[in-house]
Amino acid sequence: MAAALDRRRVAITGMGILGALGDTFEDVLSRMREGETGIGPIGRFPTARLHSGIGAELRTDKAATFFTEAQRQKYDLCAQYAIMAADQALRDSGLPRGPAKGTRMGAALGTCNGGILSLEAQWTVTELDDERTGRYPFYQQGDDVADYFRLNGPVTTIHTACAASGNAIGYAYDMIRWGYADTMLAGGSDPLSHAVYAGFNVLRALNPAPASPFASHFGLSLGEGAAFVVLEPLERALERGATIYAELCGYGLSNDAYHETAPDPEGRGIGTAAAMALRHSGVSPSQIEYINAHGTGTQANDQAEIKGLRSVFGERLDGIPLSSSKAYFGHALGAAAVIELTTSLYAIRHGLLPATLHYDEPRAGCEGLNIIANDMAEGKPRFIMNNNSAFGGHNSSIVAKTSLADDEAAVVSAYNPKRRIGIVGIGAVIGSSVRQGSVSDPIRRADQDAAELPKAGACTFSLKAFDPSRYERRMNRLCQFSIGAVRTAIADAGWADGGQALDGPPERAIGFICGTSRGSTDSIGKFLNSVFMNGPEFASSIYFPYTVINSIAGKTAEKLALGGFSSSLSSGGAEGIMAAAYACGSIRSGVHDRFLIAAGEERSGLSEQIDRAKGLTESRFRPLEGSVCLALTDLDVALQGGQPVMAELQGFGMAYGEGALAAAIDGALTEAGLLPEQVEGVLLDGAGRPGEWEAQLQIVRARLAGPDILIESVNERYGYGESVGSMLALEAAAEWVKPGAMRHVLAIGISVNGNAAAAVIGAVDKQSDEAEEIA
Amino acid sequence: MKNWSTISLEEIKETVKQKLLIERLELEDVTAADIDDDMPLFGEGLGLDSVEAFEIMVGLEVVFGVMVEGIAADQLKEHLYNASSIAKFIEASVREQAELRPAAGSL
Repeated sequence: MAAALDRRRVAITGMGILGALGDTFEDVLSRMREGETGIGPIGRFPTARLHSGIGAELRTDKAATFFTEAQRQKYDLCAQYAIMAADQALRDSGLPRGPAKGTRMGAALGTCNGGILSLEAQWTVTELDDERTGRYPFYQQGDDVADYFRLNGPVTTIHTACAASGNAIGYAYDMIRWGYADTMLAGGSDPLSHAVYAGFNVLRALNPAPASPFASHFGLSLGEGAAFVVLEPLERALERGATIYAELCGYGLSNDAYHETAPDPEGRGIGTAAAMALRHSGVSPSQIEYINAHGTGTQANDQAEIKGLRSVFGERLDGIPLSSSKAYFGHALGAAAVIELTTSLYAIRHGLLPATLHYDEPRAGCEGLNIIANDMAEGKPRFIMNNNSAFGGHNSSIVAKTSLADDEAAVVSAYNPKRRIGIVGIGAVIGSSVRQGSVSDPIRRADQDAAELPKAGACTFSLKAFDPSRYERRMNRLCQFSIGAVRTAIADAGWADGGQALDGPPERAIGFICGTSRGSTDSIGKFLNSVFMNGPEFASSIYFPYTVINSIAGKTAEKLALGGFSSSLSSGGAEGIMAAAYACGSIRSGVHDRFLIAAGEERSGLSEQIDRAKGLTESRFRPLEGSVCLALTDLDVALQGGQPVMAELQGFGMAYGEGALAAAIDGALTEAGLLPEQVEGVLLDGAGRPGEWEAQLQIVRARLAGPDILIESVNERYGYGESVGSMLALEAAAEWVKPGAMRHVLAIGISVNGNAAAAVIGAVDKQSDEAEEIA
Repeated sequence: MKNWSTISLEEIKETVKQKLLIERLELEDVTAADIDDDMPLFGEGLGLDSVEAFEIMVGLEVVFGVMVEGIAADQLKEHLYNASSIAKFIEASVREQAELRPAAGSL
């Protein structure tokens, strides 16, 4: 009998690695014991004209023997690394290679730069070919992992830069806890990129000598690689006698809301994430016996990170063994968190703790710490913490328990599946207008006739005109759309306090989950163009921060002071519904009472070429750009406070692969406790390539079979823009149930690669079932 | 590239404002006339940040052929303080380079 959802615990039962110190944990640990670094001269590209010529590259080309020639053509190197690490993790877990009959296996892949190497290989941003360009988008990397292992559960690519794999592990843990998956592959991957190296070079962040975190010399060393874990319910792992590397106790996410590249010097963001991780784990600071820090080695990071940790651990921090693994593996960006967590767990199984290599003496702000310097220390910590921070201000912190011995009174974070979640605010930037409370009824500017309002398509919104205080120079259009939509949703929800009360009770803060398939392709194009046309030594520093696509969420958080739980993800077209599922589960888990979910896209020269590569130029719908944001909160709390609630989010289904659409619909109905015939309307969002719409319509009709069911395409009305469409479907569903004529509407987002997510949106009952039962 | 060693400080200053600051940093709604010679560029004044400082450093090489490698950070900070200090730094650097370079025709 599976554990009830409100007390489901999650174990790590398989691990795989691919890094500069090796591609098995045995090799990696033996090199760590020797105090060996993976950082050495770069062989992949010329570095003579750059400030540093070193990095942590893989030693062997394992992919050459692992994949067939056709597979190497099909996958970007980011996906190849991820697949190899995930394959190792699955073998290690002893589970079959893919979902067992009747079970759901999903994946969460963290990456900083996605398939950037597929653009780099072309060394142009204007004359791109379809084959390689099609491998580039961020979501493609997660989807490739899912295709390779024929996964059927929730699949998403988390792109919160250098915190991405920490967030991916947390997301996967939630998918199991909340009952959306039986097994999850979670990890991160980033191959070494010439353009990214050039970007760090121009920011003067690279160290010409191997990185020495917390020590006297500043600067980081870039690395590459991938690592994956297999997550499953602890109960099942125990039943089948699996190796349990650790129990995942909880995690925390945050945003610095400070700057696109520089950390908050006070370390408030990492402090918020670490405190959240402890709170959800039910673990006190005094129980943490090892911290694997982000510790990049840069002047800005290390000092700020220690300040943030001191705010959580106080003087106790000085006694906790602490190290950064960046001097072993380099900074592997999106793979950093998972490489550091898995190697720590493996070392701890052997009674050892990772060291900080190249350590001489502490730098200012990092004195008095218990740094494990140069040689691994002996240790068997019961609870450990793993921290990571990123461009875009995102932070992640994970608390894991390494031993189940003495397992009395394990605290499981409170997940209450009965808590009802309502939509209390809508903001959108679509076409030429800002829309508050309703997308179908735009706010008209005094100088504008209704006839002039374009229904959708190109977005002419200017944040500078709308709210100059939140605008800054060169702000890309997607950031402007996002800030405009989120600010409007906050206003619509009447959240005048802005949710910045991070020092107060967590229920007062606001969580923020952002979806975008592509980020600001205009900024990415400008940066890559500077590298390709002018040379890597003349890379554009001002556009580099926007090559990571969590920069949109980060800039929005900065301008609107959203410092709470913070995530950003890609799926290629189902982001809005996935963000809603993530936010609802987080509210039910007690993260924060209020969440903002936003999704947006921006058109550009580069995005047109991606459209062509994905066949979207053949779509029956015209292209759409803009951003849509919904404000969500505990429905009963809102009603008690006299706040109007538009609609209730009642159930979600997320599925991948063959039959994904039907499975997503079934999942959403099951969670909502509905029969198919109870659904009165469907809002569908899909790419609309030839034959696609008809096929999807047929599946939806076959599944629901109501004679009077109304099925509408949001794309017919607004156009198609990967992530923004699925949020529009949710929003439109809320508008359908709001007057009360319809009770239950299904919103469905289907990605370019067939990833599907569905949500049941219901009319608001004034009383919860529980309250009715009592009455 | 122009031979900057023969050009007046005034002209260097104007080029700094137009090419190095306004065009390179894509400053919107700012003209060269808005940038006083002595106006601080970072934090206050023009309000540039550290990421933009790196863009200026790349621009010094691209526009004027002036390399900033090997210059200590605090010294560089003084050179980049305002349009006037940047122009003086460029003037001194290009003169130094011109003196080191053998005169044309003498090879």
